[in-house]
Amino acid sequence: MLNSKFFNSFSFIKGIFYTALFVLIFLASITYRHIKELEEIRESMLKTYEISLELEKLISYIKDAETSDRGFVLSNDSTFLEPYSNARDKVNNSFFILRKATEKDTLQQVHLNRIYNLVDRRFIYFKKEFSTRHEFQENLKTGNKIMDSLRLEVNQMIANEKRQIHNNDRIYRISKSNTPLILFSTFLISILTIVFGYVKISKNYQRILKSNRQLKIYDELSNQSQKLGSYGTWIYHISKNEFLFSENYFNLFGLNPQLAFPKIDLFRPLIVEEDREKYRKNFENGLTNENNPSITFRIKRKDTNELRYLRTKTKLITDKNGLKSLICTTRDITDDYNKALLIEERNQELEKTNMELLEFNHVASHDLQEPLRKIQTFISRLEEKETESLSENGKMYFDRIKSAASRMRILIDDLLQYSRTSRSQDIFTAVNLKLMLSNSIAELSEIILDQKADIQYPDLPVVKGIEFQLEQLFTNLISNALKYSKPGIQPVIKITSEEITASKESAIADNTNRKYLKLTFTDNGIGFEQEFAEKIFNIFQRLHSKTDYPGTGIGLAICKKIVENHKGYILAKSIPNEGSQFIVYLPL
Amino acid sequence: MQKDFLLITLADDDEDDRMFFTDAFDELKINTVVNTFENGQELMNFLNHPESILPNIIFLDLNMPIKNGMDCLKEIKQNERLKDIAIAIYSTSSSDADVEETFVLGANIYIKKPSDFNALKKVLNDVVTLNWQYYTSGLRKENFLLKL
Repeated sequence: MLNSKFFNSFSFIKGIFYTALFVLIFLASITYRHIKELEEIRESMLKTYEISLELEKLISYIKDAETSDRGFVLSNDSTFLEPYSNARDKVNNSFFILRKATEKDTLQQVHLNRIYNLVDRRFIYFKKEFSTRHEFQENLKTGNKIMDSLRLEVNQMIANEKRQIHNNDRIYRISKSNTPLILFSTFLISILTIVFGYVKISKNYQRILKSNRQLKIYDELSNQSQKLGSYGTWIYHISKNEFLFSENYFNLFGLNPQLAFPKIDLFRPLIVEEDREKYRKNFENGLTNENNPSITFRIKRKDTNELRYLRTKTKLITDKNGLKSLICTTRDITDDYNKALLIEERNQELEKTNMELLEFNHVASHDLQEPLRKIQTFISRLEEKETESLSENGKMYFDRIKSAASRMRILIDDLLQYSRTSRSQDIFTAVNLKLMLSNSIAELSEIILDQKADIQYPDLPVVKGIEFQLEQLFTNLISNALKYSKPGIQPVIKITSEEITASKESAIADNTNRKYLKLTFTDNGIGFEQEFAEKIFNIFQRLHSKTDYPGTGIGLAICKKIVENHKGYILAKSIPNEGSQFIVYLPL
Repeated sequence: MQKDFLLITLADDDEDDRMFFTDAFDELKINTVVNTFENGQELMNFLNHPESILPNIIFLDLNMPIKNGMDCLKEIKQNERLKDIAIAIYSTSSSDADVEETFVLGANIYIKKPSDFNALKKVLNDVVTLNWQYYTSGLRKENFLLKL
């Protein structure tokens, strides 16, 4: 099966025309041969006719001679002899013509020779005077005999010629019957071939026209997008050493688009001097290397003298005929470059500020520990040895000092923990959440036993994370639930776990198909107004007085930090007096 | 005579802490002689003096002027004469980095200064009555930091 690619190819059309040409040449040669044959047949027929005529003439000349001879013998009138004397010349003339006409036919020549001899003999018997009547009669008889043989020969010759005509006619008839068929069929074939070729060519031409129209549209589209996307292109036909620049390529350099064939030299001087070598090397590498990397270079625009950053990428392409071209796309990335620079700067600033803040946080809480530790140690010394010597008021003040000091201790410890959580340089490992949860429960066992709390939890999977932080997260969430339990009612904390797909969970701002582990901590505590659901995760944010529920307001902030470190989400739902729900999403 | 009491040395720049330290040993009723220095340089001068009687346990604060505890620890562990003395790090901080580094450098135990005098007494009592030989042979990072 031939594929359509072959049918549409140029070589196919070439093939059609070669075929048509061949057929036509064949046709011409056949026609020529036929005309030639017909010409030959016509000539041979003419010759036959001439020969027959000449032979008839010959006979009639001899008859004339005979008649005149007889007339003369009978009347002895010499005027009768005139045709006789003419006859000899005329006969010779006829012989000359006949000899020439039968030149190529040996059989007819033989006959002609015999006739010649017979004529000669006949003429011998023409006599003007006869001595006896008998002699005259003998003479007449012999003359008639010779005349008969002569006639016989002539008839023979005419018969030969007739046969030849008949033969020629037969050949001619066969030729005549074949010729039109051959001519017509070859003509038909060549017409068909040419028509087929024409259809093919006109189809291709239509297609080319259509492609051209589309090409024009794409050209315009490309022009527009080049302007919008501030990029330009060029094509370099290596063998022709010819550049073709897009309109916007000129614009990128601040030049007016030129219609003539400009050289790359028009643009090169606009490249910042330090980058010219780099550009040249990249260009030369592109001429031979299929994988030429993209480079960024700087230019000074011709019109505004402004410094711009251009990113360029070349690609070597080879067409069907093996001709190589280098195509290039260049984009003005100055805006991106500046933006990236700005972002980078801001990022560095932010990082620096963040680091300073963390450092400050860490150092402050750390350095605060030292004097506080001493205060507390002195308090413990005083308590042990000197309380007796204090008045009742003194003892009360002393107790106040002691509790303020312990509060400060908790605050500093929490702050330290918070700042430690913020420094998320820890490496992620596989963390067994079940183990973390049981560690947390063990850590809080005293309070759990105290409050006779019921903690229900399922089997938990292994996730990637920071072990101590996840344990801290569980501890903080459970201790939070225990702390805000309703007085006089057994605290029930129910932990559930399920695997979810982010896009199906409207509560979190992730629309991908990423999988998360959803952990829900439900308690039956005092709850809070839903409007505080986000605020409670802010550092130092408290919803209750210190005396009712002592705390620093850091616990949930630490939870949030930990979850954020794990690229997860935490949110809270609550109904006052019914209980709260803390939902944690950890990426799987 | 050396067998009757333990020689204990403390290097700490904080006067209050030195006081708590000596007071605690005074109240502990263990036969100890406590020797204190105000910074690492003083401690090293003492230890490097050939006529000094070497202590059984050195308590090292980390943050000290002139020469800090970390440098002292390095010097002691590189010194043939001193390297077998038990070293207890005695610091306000218990940052992971400090714990890790002193453990690697060869300290024997890490104590976070408690904020209660009775707790301090208990810690110091535990430390000096430790069976050091037994403790050191099974030393791992997990029990390096003394849990209070």
